[in-house]
Amino acid sequence: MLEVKKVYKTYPKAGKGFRKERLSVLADVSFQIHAGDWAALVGESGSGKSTLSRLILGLEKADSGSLLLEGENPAAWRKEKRGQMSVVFQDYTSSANPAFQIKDIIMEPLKAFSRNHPIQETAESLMEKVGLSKELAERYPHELSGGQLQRVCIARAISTKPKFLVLDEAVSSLDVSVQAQILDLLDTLKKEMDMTCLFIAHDLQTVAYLCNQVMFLNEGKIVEQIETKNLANVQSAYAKRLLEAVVRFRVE
Amino acid sequence: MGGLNKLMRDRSAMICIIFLTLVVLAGIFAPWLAPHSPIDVNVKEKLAGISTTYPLGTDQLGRCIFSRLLYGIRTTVFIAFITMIVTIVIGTLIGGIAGLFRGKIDEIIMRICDVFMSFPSEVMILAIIGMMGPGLTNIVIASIIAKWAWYTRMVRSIIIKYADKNYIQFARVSGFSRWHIFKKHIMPNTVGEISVLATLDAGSVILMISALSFLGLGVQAPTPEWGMMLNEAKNVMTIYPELMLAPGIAILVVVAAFNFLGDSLQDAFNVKRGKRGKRMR
Repeated sequence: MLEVKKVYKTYPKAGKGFRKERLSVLADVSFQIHAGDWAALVGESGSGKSTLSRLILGLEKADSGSLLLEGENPAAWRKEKRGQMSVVFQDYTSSANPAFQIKDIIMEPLKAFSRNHPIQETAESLMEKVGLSKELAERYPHELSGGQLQRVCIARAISTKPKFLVLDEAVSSLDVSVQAQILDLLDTLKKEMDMTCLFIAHDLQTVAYLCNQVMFLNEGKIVEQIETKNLANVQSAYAKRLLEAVVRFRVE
Repeated sequence: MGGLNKLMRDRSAMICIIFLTLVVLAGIFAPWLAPHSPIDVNVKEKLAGISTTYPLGTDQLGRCIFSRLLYGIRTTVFIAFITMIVTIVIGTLIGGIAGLFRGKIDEIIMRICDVFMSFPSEVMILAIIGMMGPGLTNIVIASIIAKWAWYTRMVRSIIIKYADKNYIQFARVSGFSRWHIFKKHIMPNTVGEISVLATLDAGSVILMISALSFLGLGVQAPTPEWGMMLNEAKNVMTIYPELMLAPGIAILVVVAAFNFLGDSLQDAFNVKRGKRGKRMR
């Protein structure tokens, strides 16, 4: 479904006079995600995860290399198949237009694309799906808690039944108990819906629960790609280190 | 819509709106409201005090001050409005292009703005009027040239601020058209902020036009204009200083009303700030 080949991305460094120095963020990134897979992208802050997700979403262009979604450039793919690509961002506070009511936020993509497929879902049914009570439909985003708002974002993201979903640290900024709820929710959605998902996270616990593939990104390079069930046999030093951190935490 | 409701409940904003509406209406209906002609000289009645025939007295040429104030609205306030509207339209168009399309075109527009903004605006206005000669149209043109760059920058920064929001990224990812995103997400937010800017700035434009007329660069005698009236009052300052009060207070009150209204608008359109304000009260 998604094929990433030898992708490089650099950003201009700020404050270095007239000389154009560039900061390399991604270097020679290659991987594949098959249709129906839930793949996790794990790495520390600053490893280039978010940049990679922006490239995959077609919000930015890579310096070189190719990113292909079903053989097409992501920006073209999403324009052709409106509503088939979706995303949930880490920062839920700016993910919803503060002037809109919750029901309008959730229904926005669905209403706009209803020409392609008749509206089956309503704001209520979507809110029920993500475990939000109906009373919240008339509220504004700033009147909701973080967990509730992130659910709104998930409801909006799945409303058009996307084929390809990117969860960009979708649970990272929530507290642990809410994280668990959201992960359960995503698990049920995974079973109900037929979609490919790229789950970006910085800790292993959250992704091991949901994904069948794990990719480790370190300093702009994919250091290892492995199936979740084989996670114990990781080869690279970086992946081992991450894994050990988890184990040690569990023992204590 | 939430912003409008909040504005309706804000007492000082409503007072300002009502007051400014009355001022504008008084300007429009000046020929019917004014008891005398604003330019007819009547030296016999010069420097008269407040009376029923002359509600605010007369100036050193015996002209009715009240009538001159009313007609002055037509020049001072309306010219300020025209200047504002033209500047905002130019600023929004150019700033909008820069903010929405970014890239090279943005870079070029911004560098031009930088050049314009590196002159002090008062000096630039004086220079333009010096070249084109004093007069009403010329001060309007001069103030537009002095102001458009600032508006362009402000509008661009407002648009960019919203364009980076996640809900716009989401809309792009979902495959919404640029036009849809602009119409639904960017425009409603920017219109609010631009109107706040404009209201806050209206006061300073009135001041600027009055100041230029006071210096004799703008409106020419005998056309009534508030800054002009102040200038004339200046000539008899030693023998009859009260003459400065009426135009001075008129400028003060109208400018203050615009500034208060701008503050209230800012509160009304800023969802989060409004919420915090409520909690503090």
